Amino acid sequence: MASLTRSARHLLASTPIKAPLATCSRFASTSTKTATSSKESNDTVVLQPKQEYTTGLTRLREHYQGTVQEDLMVLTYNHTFKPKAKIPEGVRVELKGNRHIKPAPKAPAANRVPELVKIDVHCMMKEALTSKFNLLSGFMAIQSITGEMPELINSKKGVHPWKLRAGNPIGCKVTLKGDKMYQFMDKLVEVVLPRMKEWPGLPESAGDATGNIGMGFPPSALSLFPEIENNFDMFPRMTGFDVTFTTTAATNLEARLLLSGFNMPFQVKNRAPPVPKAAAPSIESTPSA
Amino acid sequence: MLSIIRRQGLRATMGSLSQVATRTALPAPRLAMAARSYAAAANASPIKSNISTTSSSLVSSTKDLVINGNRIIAGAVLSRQPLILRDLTPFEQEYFTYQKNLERGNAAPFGAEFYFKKGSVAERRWKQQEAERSGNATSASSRGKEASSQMEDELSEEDRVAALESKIAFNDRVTEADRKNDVRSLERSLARTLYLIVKKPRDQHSWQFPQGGVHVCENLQEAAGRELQEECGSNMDLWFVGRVPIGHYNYKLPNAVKTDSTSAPTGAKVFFMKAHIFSGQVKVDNKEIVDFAWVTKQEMKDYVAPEYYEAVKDMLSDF
Repeated sequence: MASLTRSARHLLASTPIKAPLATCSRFASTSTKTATSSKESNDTVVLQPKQEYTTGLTRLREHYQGTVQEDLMVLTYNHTFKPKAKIPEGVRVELKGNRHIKPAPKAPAANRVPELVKIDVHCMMKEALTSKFNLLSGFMAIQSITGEMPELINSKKGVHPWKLRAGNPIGCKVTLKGDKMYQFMDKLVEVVLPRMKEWPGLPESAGDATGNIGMGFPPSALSLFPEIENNFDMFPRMTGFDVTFTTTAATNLEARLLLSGFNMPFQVKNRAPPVPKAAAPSIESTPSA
Repeated sequence: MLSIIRRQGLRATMGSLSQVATRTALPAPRLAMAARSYAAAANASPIKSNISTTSSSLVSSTKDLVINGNRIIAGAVLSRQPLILRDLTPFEQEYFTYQKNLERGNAAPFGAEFYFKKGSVAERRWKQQEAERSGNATSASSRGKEASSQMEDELSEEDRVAALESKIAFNDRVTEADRKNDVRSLERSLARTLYLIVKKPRDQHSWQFPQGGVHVCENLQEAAGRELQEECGSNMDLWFVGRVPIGHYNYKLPNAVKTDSTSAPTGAKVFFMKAHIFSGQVKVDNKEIVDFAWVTKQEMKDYVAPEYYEAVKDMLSDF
């Protein structure tokens, strides 16, 4: 693991306690950084290219633009849309439970078709409590499956019973956008999810009511990624991870429509009864236009 | 990858259309996705809407629906989505190769000793591929050639056989149907969206989308589905995209017989419903229709009447 992990190791070693979250931003940094950080980065191996390269068409992006977008426009079209009455100023609306006011739904329009904005891949490792170097395995795994350098996450608060101190590195996170996002989605949907045995698909209730859908993966799912499958022995610790799909959809339904347009499996509980085929008896030549 | 999906039977059943295409002759990057999986997600509306739910099962009437002197007609815009990625323009091609070379040049060092065990077949094969790639990048430079020839010597016969076996052969982007210009085949113009048009046995307006009158107590989607089944047979796996029409077209009935009654329709309104085909093929019944074709938007211009094309062209995909 030597050369690959060198910079990650360095990153961990050089993380001072209570350092800001984005310590690793210097790895992708350009010359605009301060002198001290550029001095530090001299003796590190830069794992990430300094620039994004567009080396070809992305399959899912093309599919979205060619098929999904048009279909979503038809599916989410609402002919009898009425804008909600505005809440007058000074009136405070109390909602029941732990809910907050959502923005009023907007009229359906061609420029408001739901779209995938970003995918967050995040992992938290309990083993990092004992030694922060235990985080390396998860760090490398996330980097392998996403192709991007993860961002280190330090704990905000200390929790005494868990022996967690504030500012200790406890997890890592990657935010995918653009081509990389679609490529990751493609991999997930075509390779990983079909091989997750006995996973019934995302539940119907998936979504946070503002158009984002999240899902968690067990540690065993990590080995289903083609990048890790071949070098499974090289990763000492497998870790579970969360994936969050952030979309511009306004409702759960729209977000689910969008994701299922990318072939994301969803559970269907109440299937409609089968079509009675003989409902319309074969009518002889209706006069056609 | 495909076989995995097929084995697992993703809820979003890949249309067997794309499977058939892959088995026979499908070029490399596929773009066939199952739009039908929308139905799984929006279990509330579209899946029910794909099934006759309204009162038609209660009141089965074959009377034509006439509103304000206009006959209401439902048409089906049945499309086959692109199966492969679109062709690149020469500029795009150049740009992508340039970017690829830049990326390779600026890439972080690859930890080969991490990914390959020393002396393994995989390592040797990777070294060979690397030599080939650097040979390609510097094209005429002798250094790359030298390196690759050196690698060739190191490789054993066994490696070469393994490399041949694992080599991915790309299929042709141009299919047999393209060469023969077989407009009835679903395996033509793989990178384009195809639309179904049918020919009716008459002189004017013979080529059209499959369409027919809406009955009383029937919604547009049911009518479009019924018409498709009547005209094109039931040997097709379809999915209607929602219940709302994507376009409409008005025309005056040419032989409006005003004499028999005042309620006789004077015109007609056609509402077009969007649908995707996943598998199967049209079966001509030789009664209502005599011919059919799967055409792109641009090709459709040569088939249908100019005013018809003018009315429907904005619903169709340019790609």
